[in-house]
Amino acid sequence: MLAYQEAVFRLAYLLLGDPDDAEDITQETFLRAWNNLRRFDSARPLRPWLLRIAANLAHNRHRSAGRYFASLMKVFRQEKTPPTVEERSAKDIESQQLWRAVQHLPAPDQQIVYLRYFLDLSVAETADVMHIAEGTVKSRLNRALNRLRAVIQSDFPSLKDGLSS
Amino acid sequence: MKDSTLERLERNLKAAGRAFPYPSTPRIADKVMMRLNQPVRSRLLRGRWAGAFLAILILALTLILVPPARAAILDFIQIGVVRIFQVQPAPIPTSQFQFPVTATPKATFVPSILQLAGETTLPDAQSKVDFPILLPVYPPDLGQPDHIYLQNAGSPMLVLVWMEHDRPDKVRMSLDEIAPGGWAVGKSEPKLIEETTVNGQHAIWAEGPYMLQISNGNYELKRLVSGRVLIWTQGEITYRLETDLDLEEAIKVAESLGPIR
Repeated sequence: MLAYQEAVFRLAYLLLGDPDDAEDITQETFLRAWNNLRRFDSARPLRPWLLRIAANLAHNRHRSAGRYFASLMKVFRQEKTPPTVEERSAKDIESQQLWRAVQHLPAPDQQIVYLRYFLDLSVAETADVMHIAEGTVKSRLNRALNRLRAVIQSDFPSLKDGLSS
Repeated sequence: MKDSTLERLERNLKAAGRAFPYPSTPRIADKVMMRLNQPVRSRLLRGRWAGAFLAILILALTLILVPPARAAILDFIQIGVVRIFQVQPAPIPTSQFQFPVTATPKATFVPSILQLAGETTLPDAQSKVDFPILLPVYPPDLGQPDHIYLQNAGSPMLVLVWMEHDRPDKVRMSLDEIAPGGWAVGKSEPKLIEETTVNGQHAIWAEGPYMLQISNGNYELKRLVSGRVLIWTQGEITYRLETDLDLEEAIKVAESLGPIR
């Protein structure tokens, strides 16, 4: 569990944007995995299977009305002051902004970008998580990158510089 | 051919992934174990779903036997106060026969169960523990234990030892009765782990050699176990039977436990 919890938690966080939700999803992922071990082919690597469960759970959580109300309540309860610009490094800011830009993409595009680039999975592992062919991963990545470029050009002017030569 | 803007975007995304300020990953192993254990009782009470859930639970417990998946998903298996870790045994510390009580736990290696501290009698032990001491009546020639040790630091742990009739220096069988509380019993990477039942309750059968570690904050005791061990719970008490018997016979011993006669 220790070996995989970080990747599962990070994917859930990227998809949901909330550490508490991400922790719930991480726990639920391992419980589901435990209860569905008979469906798992032990000859295959475990990480892609766990990440697929996490992605599905996060997707369902995203769509639930409960989550919407829970986030509203959380805003009321916490009202945390976001860190100031000085507190965050330039790299942090850029990576956060890119994340915000990725969040404008359709859910399947977000997932493939997070898996391939943020979590640094290979094309083969990404294909395994998403249950698609490696060639399909490449074409979907290409499509997601084109969409992301369009998002950056229209809504994230500060990231535009990073795309020009 | 990919255009240069997309290539730069790919590079930027990879860099963003490396620099991303993720929140620190919480430790979830204990919470998952708690959730695996806790819902059983409550869900079992839900009428018509009880059977289905029980079937799934039994299946999940059976599937613990799939070694690669089990080892990867759980770092330990727990029953009662006993945890079986899927890790290499720690190196054996140098021999020390005393069983110290210190503020800071220090591992003590005990070569034999007969070198435990706290030897007492059954009536004395019974007067000091809150739970009824149970003794096996199988095999029929077993009789009462030859040695009784009570480790009573915080919560009691009773160790009952039977010797071979014809070899008074050789341990025939030992039974630990461990009350809930501060004691934690761990064993590192037994050769064989098998799920079974004692009186219909979940039990684990493990075969050595493995390192047994018992600790409660004050004590930390290590012993190399080469035999076979059956672990089960009954009420709040965890039982741990160490024996040379096979599984079937060990279960008969476990299911023969009764009050002191």
